[in-house]
Amino acid sequence: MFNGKKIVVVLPAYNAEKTLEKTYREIPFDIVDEVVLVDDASRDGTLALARELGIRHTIRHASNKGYGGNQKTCYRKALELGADIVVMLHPDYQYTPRLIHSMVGIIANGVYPVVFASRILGNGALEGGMPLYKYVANRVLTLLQNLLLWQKLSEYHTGYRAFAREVLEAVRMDACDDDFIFDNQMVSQIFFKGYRIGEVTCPTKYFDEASSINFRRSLTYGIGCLRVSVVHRLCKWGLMRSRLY
Amino acid sequence: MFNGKKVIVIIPAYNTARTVAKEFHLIPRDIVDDIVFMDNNSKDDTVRIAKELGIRHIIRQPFNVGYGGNAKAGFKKAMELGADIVVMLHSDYQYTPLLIPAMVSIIANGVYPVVLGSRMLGKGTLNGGMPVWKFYPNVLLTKLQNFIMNERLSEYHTGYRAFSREVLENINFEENDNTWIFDNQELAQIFWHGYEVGEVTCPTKYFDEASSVSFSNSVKYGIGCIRTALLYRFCKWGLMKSPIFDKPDTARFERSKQLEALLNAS
Repeated sequence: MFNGKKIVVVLPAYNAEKTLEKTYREIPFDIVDEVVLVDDASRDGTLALARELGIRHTIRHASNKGYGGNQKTCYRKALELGADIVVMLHPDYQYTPRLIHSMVGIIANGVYPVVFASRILGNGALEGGMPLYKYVANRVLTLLQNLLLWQKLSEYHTGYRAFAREVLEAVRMDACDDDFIFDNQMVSQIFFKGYRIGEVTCPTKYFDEASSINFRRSLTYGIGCLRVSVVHRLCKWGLMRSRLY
Repeated sequence: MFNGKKVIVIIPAYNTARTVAKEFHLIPRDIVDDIVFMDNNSKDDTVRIAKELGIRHIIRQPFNVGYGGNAKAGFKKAMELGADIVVMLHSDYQYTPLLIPAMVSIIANGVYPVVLGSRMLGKGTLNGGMPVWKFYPNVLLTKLQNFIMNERLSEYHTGYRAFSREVLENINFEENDNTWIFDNQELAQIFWHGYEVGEVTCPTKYFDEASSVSFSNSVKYGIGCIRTALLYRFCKWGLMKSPIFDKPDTARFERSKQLEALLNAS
């Protein structure tokens, strides 16, 4: 609880056995009321470990649905549990759970209804070991997306996000894809509905255990992001319609 | 208190009688233990209103000591009161006190020792009414400062800042100017000593009541910022020396405190 608001942390997990415990132990339970873990058909012992750790709400997908599909289940469950504020945290320990207070505080006090933890603010991203090609690509992509959406985010690709219930109810999550592009579509929906997004600097740790996608998949992802932004712009101008909005 | 850490908000004020109360009521008293109010010899009712609000620690400058001079008094007082975390909030209500929990928790949780409320993140600044002639120079100045100092802040000019005690103990803020440049020198000192700075998007409200600086003063300020950045760079390269990057002379601080105590006793 924070200012009388129920806080639910959701962990979309896929083969996160090695980092789950470290992540879970740092969650600030003075304000977090419930934790939801959705296991996207991991091949390792993620689910067993989650139960061992005492995570009350664990859901297992029978088959791998993808990152977006995983999040859909996460948010649905969190809303079902009566969450007022939902924080998505990756169980790969790339993001520190110690920012939860801050992100929740911003939403609970009504400053912004959505908060992203940005790895691009501060000097952390490169020093933390983000590969240079990823950093540069991230910057270029962000610039293009900002222009198309006419916004000013420092990055669109962070996996550390907090939402007010109202926002999760307002966006059409089910219309989004089930893969990585989900994140981007959701940002676009949030801006389309006129909500603002606040940001917080987030230290970054890239290490072997943190999930990494290869070059080809990064490229596909980048193109997908641009497509989302172009569709957003065309819909805003009334030249196109998309069920996303 | 937040995680057992004592949180003190310091408010530098000058002729802000109209905004003080509005802002004061938004300060989250569940985590803020004390408030230090520094009045820079205002000509209006600022002090009377601060008193009426029940602010315990009011410093009244006998004459206008400049923004930096006033800030120094606030930081010193907060340290004396045993602050673990100090938040500086301007009294002109340009910044919302509702971000205090977010800023304080980042420091209390050990993520960053310094947090700035940035008006340049997000789209709020221009929508919030920052004049265009201030907005673009701010962006340009920031780019220059980032380049010269090899840092990556979204702005250097926000007056909404939170610090851990350790940082304030290790930077020689007493050596800084007594003008608006104080804030800039303080950031240079923080980077000098290797501390990392976190940022949080801060909604901005520019309105008539918010303090505004004239054009010529803004130009002077901009030049001062660049001078600070260059000083930092030359000192880093070992081509120059400046007392602002020295460790604070705690012995001198102690001596002045003893002297003060003597004066008070007599």
